[in-house]
Parts: sequence; C-alpha cells; structure tokens
Amino acid sequence: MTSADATTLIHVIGFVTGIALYAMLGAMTLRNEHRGGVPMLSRRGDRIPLFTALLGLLWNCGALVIYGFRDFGVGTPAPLFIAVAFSALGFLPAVVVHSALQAAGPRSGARALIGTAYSLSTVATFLQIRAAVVGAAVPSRTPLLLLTTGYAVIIALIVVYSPREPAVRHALSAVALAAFSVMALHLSQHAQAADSWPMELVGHHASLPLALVILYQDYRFALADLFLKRLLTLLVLIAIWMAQYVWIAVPFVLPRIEADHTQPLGVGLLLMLGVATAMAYPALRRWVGRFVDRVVLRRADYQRLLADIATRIEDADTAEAALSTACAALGPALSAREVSWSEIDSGARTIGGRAHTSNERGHGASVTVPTADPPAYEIGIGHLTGGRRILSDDLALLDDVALVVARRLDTMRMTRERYARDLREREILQLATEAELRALRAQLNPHFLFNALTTIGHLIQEAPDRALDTLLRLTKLLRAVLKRSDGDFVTLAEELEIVRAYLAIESARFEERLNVTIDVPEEIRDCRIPPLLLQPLVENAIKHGIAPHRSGGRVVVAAQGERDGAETGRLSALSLSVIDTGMGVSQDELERRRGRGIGLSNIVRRLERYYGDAASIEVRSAPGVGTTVRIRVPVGLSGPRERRRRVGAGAGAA
Amino acid sequence: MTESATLRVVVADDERPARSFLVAMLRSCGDVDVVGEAAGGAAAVTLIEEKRPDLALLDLQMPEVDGLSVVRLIKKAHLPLIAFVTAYDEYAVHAFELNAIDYLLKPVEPARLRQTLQRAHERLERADYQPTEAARLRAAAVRVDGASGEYLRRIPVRDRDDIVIVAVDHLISVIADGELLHLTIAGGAHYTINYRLKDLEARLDPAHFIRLSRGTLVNVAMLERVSPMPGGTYVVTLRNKQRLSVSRQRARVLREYLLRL
Repeated sequence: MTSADATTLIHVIGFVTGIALYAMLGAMTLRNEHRGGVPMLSRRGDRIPLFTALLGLLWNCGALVIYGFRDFGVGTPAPLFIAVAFSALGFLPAVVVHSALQAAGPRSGARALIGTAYSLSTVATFLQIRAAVVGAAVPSRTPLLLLTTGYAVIIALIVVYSPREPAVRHALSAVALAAFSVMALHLSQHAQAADSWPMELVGHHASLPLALVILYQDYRFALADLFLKRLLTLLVLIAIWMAQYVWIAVPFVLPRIEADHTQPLGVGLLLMLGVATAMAYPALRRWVGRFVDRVVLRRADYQRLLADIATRIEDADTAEAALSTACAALGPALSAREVSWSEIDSGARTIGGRAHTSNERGHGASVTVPTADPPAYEIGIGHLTGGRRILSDDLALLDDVALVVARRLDTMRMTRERYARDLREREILQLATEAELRALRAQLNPHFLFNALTTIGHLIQEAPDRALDTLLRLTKLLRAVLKRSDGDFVTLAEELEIVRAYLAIESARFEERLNVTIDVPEEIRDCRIPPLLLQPLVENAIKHGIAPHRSGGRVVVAAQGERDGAETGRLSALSLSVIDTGMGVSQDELERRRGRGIGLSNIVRRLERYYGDAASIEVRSAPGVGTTVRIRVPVGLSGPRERRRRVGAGAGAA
Repeated sequence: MTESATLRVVVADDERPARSFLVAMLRSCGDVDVVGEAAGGAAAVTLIEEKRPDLALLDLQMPEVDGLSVVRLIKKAHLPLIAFVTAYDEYAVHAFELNAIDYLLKPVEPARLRQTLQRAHERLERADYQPTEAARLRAAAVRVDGASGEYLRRIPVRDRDDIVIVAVDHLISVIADGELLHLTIAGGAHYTINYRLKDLEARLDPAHFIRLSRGTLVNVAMLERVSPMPGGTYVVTLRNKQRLSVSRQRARVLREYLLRL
C-alpha cells in the first residue's frame, strides 16, 4: 500500500465523516428547536451550533471535492471554489471563540475579542477570495498565516482575560484553537507535498474534534451526550472498516481478486466482513453508549436507577414520601447539589410538559410530575457539581422518573379516594342506622309510647273523637319512622308533619303546659333535608325544657330561607330553629350533656357527613331562660341525596 | 265489711290525662274513695298530710318534686301506703321489684290496679306495716336516684308545711347529724332533710361538692378561706362566715385537689 493510497483513503473517509458529523449536528439542532414546546435555541446566540454545522459542512464538502480532484488526478476545481471552502474553515475558529466567550457572560472585553476573531476571519476570507480572483495560488499562504498568528494571540488573550473561568473551559477552547492553528499552519507549509497519512489525518481533519469541542463548549447544547455517542459509534465503525481494509482486504483478499476475477471466494469474504460489521453495529452502539455514560460522563446506570426508584416508591404511602424518595435517588445519580420537589399551581402547569433545563447554561433542570389530577408537583434539579451539565439523557431520565412517580401518585390517590369513599359510605350508613335506631327509640321511646297510650286511654273515656285523633297521629308517627328508615332525604314539609304529629301527642299529654308555635314560610317547605333532623330536637326541647317545668312552657319550631344577596336571590340556605322556654342549663352543664346525649351528637355528625363545613349547628342555653338550637344547612344540594341512594342500594345488596 | 272496706286513695300525677285516666279507673272499682288529686309533688305532700289517705298512687316522674321526694318529705307518722306509677322506668321497676314495693305501669290495667288495692287492704289489716314500709321506700329511693345517672340540680325540702325547692348551686354546706342532714343555704336559710350524707354526696356533682370530714360536705364555690392548722389540717371559712374544720384524712385530698394552682 502506497502512502498516496492511504492518504486518499484518509481524505475520503475523513471528509465523508466530517460531512456526516456536521449534517447530523445541523439536523439535531434544527429538530430540537421545538422539543416539547420548550425552545432550547430560542436566543440568537443559540444559533451557534447551526452556524458551526453550516461552516463544517461547507468545509468538508469543499475539501472532499478539492482533495478528491487532486488525489484521483481529475484536475483542480475552480480557484473561487477552493477559496470559499478554505474561508469556511477560516470562520470556524471565530465561532469557537464566540461560543467560548459567550459562555463566560456578556462583557465588553469578550465582545471585543469576538469582534476581533470575526474580523480576522473576514480579512482572511477577503484575502483568499482576492487570491482566487487575481489568479494567485489558492489556497493562499498569507491568509492562512494571518489566521494562525491571529488566533495564537487571541488564545493568549483569552487565557489572560478569563482566569476565573473554570479551567476546563479555557483548556477546551485553547485545545480547539490550537488544533485548528496547527492544521492551518500545516496547510500553509505543506500544501504541495504529500505527507504520511497520520500527519494528513491530524492536519486536514482537525475539524472533526473541533465539532465536538464546539458542542462541549456550548453550554446550551443539551444534546452533547447523544451527539458524542453517535459520533463515537460512527468513528469506531469507520475504524473497524479501515482496519478490515488495511489488514484483511489489502494483504489477503484483493490480491486473490486481482489474480482471478472469477474466484467468488474473495468477493464472498468481503461481503461477509461487511455483513459481520453491520450485525455488530447494535452491540457497538450499546457499548459506546455505555462507555460515554460511565467513563466520559461518569453517570450512574440510568436504567437501573429508574427501576430502583420505581421499586422504592412502591413502598411510599404518601405523595411526600414518594417524591422525597425519588429526589433522594436522583441527587447522587446526577451529582446535583440539590434536588427538591414542590407542589405547583395546577392551573399554571403545561399538561405533559417535559423536562427542561432551568437556565441557559444547563446548570439546573425541572420537570413536572404529570399526575392525572391536581395537585401537580415539580421536581427541581439544582446546580450539578464537578462541572457537569444537564444533557439530553439526563432530561430523558427526568422525564421517565417523573412519569414513574406520577403513576405511583395517581395510584396512591385512587386508592386513598376509594378508601375514603368506602369509609364515608360506611359511616353514613352507620350514622343512618344509628339515627333510625335512635328515631325508633325516640318514637317508640317507652316513656313516650306508654304515656301516649295512657293519654289515649284517658281520651277514650273523656273525648272519644280526640282519642281517635291522637291514635291516628301516633299511627302516622310510627309509620313515618318506619318508612323513613331508608334514610333518604325528605322535604321540610314531611319532616314538619312528623314533628306536628309528635307535638300533637305531647300536647294531649301535657295539655295547657305545652304551647307550640310552628313558623315555617310556605316557599321553603319543599326544600330537602336529612330525615329526622328536627324531631329529635323537638323531643329534647320537651324532655329538658317542658317536662321538668311545673308550669310548662313554649316550644317554637321555626325555619327561614336565606337568599344570596338581594331579596329576590336564589335560595341558598335554610335556618332551622327549635326553641324552648324551659329550664335552660348553664354552659358547662350543656357541654356535659352534649358529650352524653346521643341525639344532638348524632345530628352534629350527620350534618358533617352530609354537608361538610357547609352546615352548622349552634346551641345556646341559659338557666331559667331556655334553650335554642339553630341548624343552618345549604339548600339545592342534590349531591348528598345521590350519595344516599347509592349507599341505600349498597346496603340492600349486602 | 268493716270501715276499712273503703280505701281512701290519693292520686298524684302532673299530667292531667294520666291522672284522670287513673281516677276514672279507681272510681270504677267499688270499694275506693278518691279523696284527692294532686297535680304535682309538693301538692301531693300537702294533700296527703291533710287528708291522711290509706293509699297514695304517686307518679314517679313529676317536675321539681318527684314521687320519691314526696315519700321523703311526708312526715313519718303521716306516711300512707304507697304505689308508684310509671310509664317505663327500668331502674325504678327493678328497685321496686327487689324491695316488694308496689308499682303500676302506664297505661294502668284495671286488673293490675285491683291487685294493688287488694294488697293495700291486706296490709292495712296488719298493724306493723309502717316501719318496714318506710325503710323499704328509702332503700328503693336511693337505688332509683342513684341509677338515674344525672346529678341532682334541685333538692325539695320541708319548711314547716311548705315545700321549698333548693337549687344545689345555692347550697353552702351539708352537716350530718345521724340520719338527718342540716342544709345551709346562701341567704342564711337552714333546712333539715332525712337522707344519708353518703347517698346525697353520690347524687351531687363531685366537681362542685367536696367532703371536709365524715359529717360535712361543702359547695366548692362557697369556699372563701382555708387556714392551715397544727397537725397538717385546715379550718375552712365559707362565704357565710361559717367555719368548718377539715379532718386529717380529707386535708390531704383538699391539698391535692383544691389548693393546687
């Protein structure tokens, strides 16, 4: 194999790789412009990768043509074409300087340096094109020399200018520029003579590492890791191809084919090599990816991490615990100084918003945990230590983790909701049963019942008509209690009928000692209330307010509708009062009784269950004055009724 | 038949229908003379002492002065045979069954009423009924009162022929003298009731009443001054300037319960 052959091969492969590389860079940049609705390259400065891709493409295409023409002896392309290609190469260092200094922040010194770099490249371009136009040797040595010396000075200035920047950064920019300068110097001195192929590789294809350096330098380019993986895969693939060509094809296969064109063994062997390499590609890609993650980026195994987080949050039983577990696992994996979570305003979040870096240098990131229902959470990644940046794989990991956590939170919420619903239904059922029992006990209260029967016995002798009347009321009361045992809401009118029947019987018993006033406006009688809400209160009023009083007293049952705002507004609440003018009790006596009495506490609990905070109950009592119980319930709520129906059905099935 | 064939009966019930029902039924029984009706406990005491009936049918649940209080308030010598009437009172019924005191359940059945009247006739023919009856009644009353579960709020007491209702909040001190209790009321009034201190204490709210010694019970709200005495005891001065000494045993309770900030 001659030196020229190798050089040609190097050139063709190198420039084709370069074209592929820069095309890939350009495509990725453009495609990710709209990633997940979060513009990553929204600022003008973010066009740098795109610009780099264009320049790199231009140079590599031009160089392929130029050196291809030369090596295959086709001739020389037009001088202007050569000048443009070399000018594109001349602009690349300006882009590097721009990228490096922009990352350092907008300072006037930095701007001046960037300006100088672009001016330098512009002047070199001008000189190059002029040489082409006037017919001088292209590429011209003068602009290449100018570039070399000019950028040597700029490197020195950058090193002096930004001593506080992290060492990595200017080391990188210096390396990039140095590599480029060496290439330029080499080109200017050895343009005519052909060197050995390693020299050619270093000299002509410095734009390949340069592409990487630019990417690594540019902190906004979050796809650096992905790009690095693809590039490395590509390079390894090319290396394999070359090795196969140099060590297998050239010494063994090609001579056979040359010796006997009809021998199929040589061609078959070549094909086999190609197929084997192609089949090895997926493994190669995986291997390179792992190498980049572990060795270059020193990352944890994200697949295992994700599985680990998924397992660990299974044990968490609160949203806080699950999020904290995920954050605790993410922190060391990303080497983040701080990983935290917070509840976010569900209105502000974007549905399915994916992970994105939280500032332009990729120092932090945040991701929304996409729960199905509010509350939504956000996981925030703080600054990474050791100069690490959030790259695309990290963002992908965050997306995956957020998804896993969201599924867990959704499951948790559903489980909890179902449990709460079950509990609530069971409690309502239990309270209803208790209320029914209590109601039965109240109406069938032996005292009440036997006293009522005694009253009827007396009336049979004294006033048979009233006896019958009282008997029918008692019947109605008992029937109402039994009928209401399904626990459904009743109208206020229905409840009042029970109260009236009860009061009528008690009136017959206490006679003039019991005075009753019922004051309920007609328009609210159709409002629905829980059953047996008033009757126990009336019974209490008689038991504690009237019976112990020798001269009796008055029981007032009153109801009022409350309207929204104006007189004509929608009916919003009912105010129900049961007032007695009986004994009354002091406040601490009241507290003591409340603790013991089933009736009032049952009503309080039922109100809480049916209406939550929307209902209230107030008891006021003063010794010698009497007791007032006031209940306020919202109206127009069909919800509780529906719920009750379901509970009733469930109880029937059980 | 002798003159005892006609039983003189008094009926007390605060509910007129119940009372009328019972009276009507009594009248339908031939050998009964209803000598009076009372619409309350205090009236019943007066009526019984005035009419001296053979038998009193007392409703247990009456406002202010209930059936048991009526028995307690009647002078021992005037106490007739008693039958309680109740609509439904588990505790009372149990207490009476145990002590064989007669009771009727509402609505009263004529057959059951006749049985009561029959029993009264039989007892009246024996001379020794009274002392045992009184003792039984007291024991039953204590059982029933204790079982009610509610603290006493008013105590009906005798003031010569009147019945006075004393609110327990106005009670200053109770001093025992054998089976008698001397009550001192705010305002300077003194009453004596026939009750055991142990039983009364059980019916008063322990948060409001405290024993100072075996024989004294005071209203905590009426304590004014507590003076330490040699030997670790105290002398307590009440609002009405009454001074009572605290027994050594109760002094410890007083220290732990009252004198702690």
